[in-house]
Amino acid sequence: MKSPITTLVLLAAICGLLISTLHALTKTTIVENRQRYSTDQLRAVLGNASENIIQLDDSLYFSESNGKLTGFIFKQSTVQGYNGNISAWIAINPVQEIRGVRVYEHQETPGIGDKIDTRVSDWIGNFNGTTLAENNWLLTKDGGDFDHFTGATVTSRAMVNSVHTGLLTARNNSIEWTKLADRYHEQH
Amino acid sequence: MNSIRTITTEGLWTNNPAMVQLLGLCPLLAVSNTFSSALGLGLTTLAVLTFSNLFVSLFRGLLHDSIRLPVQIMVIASFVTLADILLQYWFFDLHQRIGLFVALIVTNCTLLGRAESFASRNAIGYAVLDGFMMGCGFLGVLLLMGTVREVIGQGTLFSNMHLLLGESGRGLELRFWDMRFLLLVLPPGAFLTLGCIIALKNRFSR
Repeated sequence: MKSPITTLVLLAAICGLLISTLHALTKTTIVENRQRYSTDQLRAVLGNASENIIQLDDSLYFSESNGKLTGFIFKQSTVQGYNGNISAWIAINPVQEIRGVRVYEHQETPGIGDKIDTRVSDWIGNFNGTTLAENNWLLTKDGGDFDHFTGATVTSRAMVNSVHTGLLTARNNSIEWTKLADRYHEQH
Repeated sequence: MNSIRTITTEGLWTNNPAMVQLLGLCPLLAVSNTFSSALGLGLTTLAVLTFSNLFVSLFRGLLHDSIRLPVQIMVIASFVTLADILLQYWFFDLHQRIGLFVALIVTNCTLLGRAESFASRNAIGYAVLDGFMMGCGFLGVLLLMGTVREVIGQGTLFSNMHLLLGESGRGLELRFWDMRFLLLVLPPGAFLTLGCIIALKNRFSR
């Protein structure tokens, strides 16, 4: 009978070997899956238009077609969700109109609050074409323009507020963002 | 005690992990809100349980008492990691949804319980069968809870099956009515459903 320590080390080595082998075999596909998932999200925000999407920083991208700026895509998070953070990509065109919103991270209740997720429902499409000036950024039941979905007033309200805040941020930064995009073009 | 028949009935009914041993309640309660996530996590647990029983039984002769438990939990953790990697490989979208709970399979006491009380004392064939049957028993209760909570809670069945089956699963969703019963979808609903299931089980097996 070998000492228990030897057995333990040996078995740990076998387990480690199994895991690292599988990890090595699947690594590339998993990284691809992950990247595909996040670029799919970005493309989806633009309604799958065939534009170039170029990264400016972690949370800011711009889109262009034939060298012409077609808008910005930026991250917007809110802590007002029913279950913590809701993070979304918001795409706007150069005149600050919403092109699309996609939630990419949330912990809303499955079956109720998760209707903000496009995999579950199309509710988020309600924001398409809205602007700061022309819309009243409240839920219909609070006197605004946006219908909430059944059973999840908190989540709906959080989304409306979050997109509203996003638009305000975009307006306040629009000059700077355009400069960043121009500078990118000068450098490339 | 070790006939194929007893192992099967124990796993599925008389010693069912969810209804009798009351083990693994955390994942059971957390992912039973829809049929699709119940099926996803149930199948993963079934696979991990079968393989960890196989391994624990395979090495049972080698294990000194002082390292038996650490080795068992290491084996379980390894297989959960393998399952997690494979889920990301094959079902990335589903992994986005239940990934958090996959890691929690390690803490599902059913696995350590079966490894310690059965697999480490029995031949490989029986250990694998026990793992498989206990897994099926767990999966069965999970699916039953998923069905009850999804149908009564949100009026649908088989929603989001495309996360498991690809695009062809999208058409499977059945919608019964538009009424919602929030309580059953939220965590307390899981406790109530499980309570009712256990009560019914006890009534029948009397």
